[in-house]
Amino acid sequence: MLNRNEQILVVEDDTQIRNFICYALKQEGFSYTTAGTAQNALSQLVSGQIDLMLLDLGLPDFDGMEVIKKVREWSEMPIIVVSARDQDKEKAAALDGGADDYLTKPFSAMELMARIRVALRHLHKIESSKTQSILSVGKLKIDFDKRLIYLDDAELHVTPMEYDLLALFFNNIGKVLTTKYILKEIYGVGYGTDTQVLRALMAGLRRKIEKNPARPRYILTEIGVGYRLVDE
Amino acid sequence: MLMGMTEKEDERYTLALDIYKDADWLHSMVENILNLTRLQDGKLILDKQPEAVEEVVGVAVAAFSKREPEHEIVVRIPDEVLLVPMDARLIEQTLVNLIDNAIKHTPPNGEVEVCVQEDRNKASAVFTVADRGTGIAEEDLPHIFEMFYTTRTKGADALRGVGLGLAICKSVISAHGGMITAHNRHDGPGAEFVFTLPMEVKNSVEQK
Repeated sequence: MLNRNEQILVVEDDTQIRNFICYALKQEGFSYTTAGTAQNALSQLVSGQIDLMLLDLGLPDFDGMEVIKKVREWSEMPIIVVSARDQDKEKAAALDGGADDYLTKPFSAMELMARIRVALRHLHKIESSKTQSILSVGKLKIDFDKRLIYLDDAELHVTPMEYDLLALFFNNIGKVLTTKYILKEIYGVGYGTDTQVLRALMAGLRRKIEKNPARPRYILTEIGVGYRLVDE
Repeated sequence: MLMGMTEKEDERYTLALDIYKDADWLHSMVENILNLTRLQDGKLILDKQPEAVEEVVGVAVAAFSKREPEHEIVVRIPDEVLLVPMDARLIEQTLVNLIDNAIKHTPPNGEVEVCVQEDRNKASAVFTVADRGTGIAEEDLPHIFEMFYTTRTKGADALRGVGLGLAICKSVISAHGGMITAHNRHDGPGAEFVFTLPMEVKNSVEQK
């Protein structure tokens, strides 16, 4: 069991879920602290050394969005929000408001650890400011210097926009990207709600990189939220 | 979590798996019931957006690769992207209910087929979920989408159904202005469920 350096803050008012999360974290060797209200969370965030926060969106005292907004005023720490299944709009808003990823209740310990791993990986990448010019996921590879995409070691012809889209995903491997965020990064600010153009672009790209577009291995759809390039 | 801590041969693994499956089923059923009551009360506002059918089908099918690895789900979609206005969450739920139904009525190693095509004449997308089970009894066909209607099929799983899955499918599809029907397959055993979604969002206020 590795003893990790990171301190995780678990903000969850449901005792059973909080206990479950803490048990899973303990199994993986993480140190953690808990809070049942936003007030408690904020005071810990201000005074303590927190490296990552798990934040329930349904807290009794404050809207989770408020907590995110406040924390983002002074910290870039990874924030993973926890919410119920029918809260797609809230999840997307939280992500667009500064959260990095989300978990939907009920979730398994495996999903929890996968999200934390991805979040910490990105945190360390930002901290080390080391950039690799070649990244790969499965048989899909990107060369940032040459602006080329490879599939199964063969060069894959992609349009400039498809390249930009893949580059965006490769800079965020394992992390969910909201539709709004992708539209802004690829098309610019004016395309706010035109999801149709993104769906068409994604579909075209999917036909190039996926064996079966309806059973994707690389870019998964997260309904109501956005997309994710998965590693495993 | 318990399953991750136990060996597969340990009988506690099976018990934990059963608990997980039951909790999962219960969670699904609660969601179905909530959606159904909200739809019937007119309180559920559909969030219709143009969605790629392959994405919605993909997500619905992916839910089963975790749960039911022993059934093969074959997916057929058009080569060109088909964008259809729909509430993705609700259509995903509809597909999950239909696929779940198909799996329950299919023997192990049997194939379940999910197919989407565009019906150009009627300007709608046609979704089909087909199984190779024993089919639907003639007397059940007219009632199959009614609330709480359950068929007298053999098998342990028949006891778990409370007859709401298909009722919610019908409510969701009707709310989208589409149609859902069921019939027995002509090319062999099994049942086929077909639903349509209009390609155009019919809005009497804005006429483009």
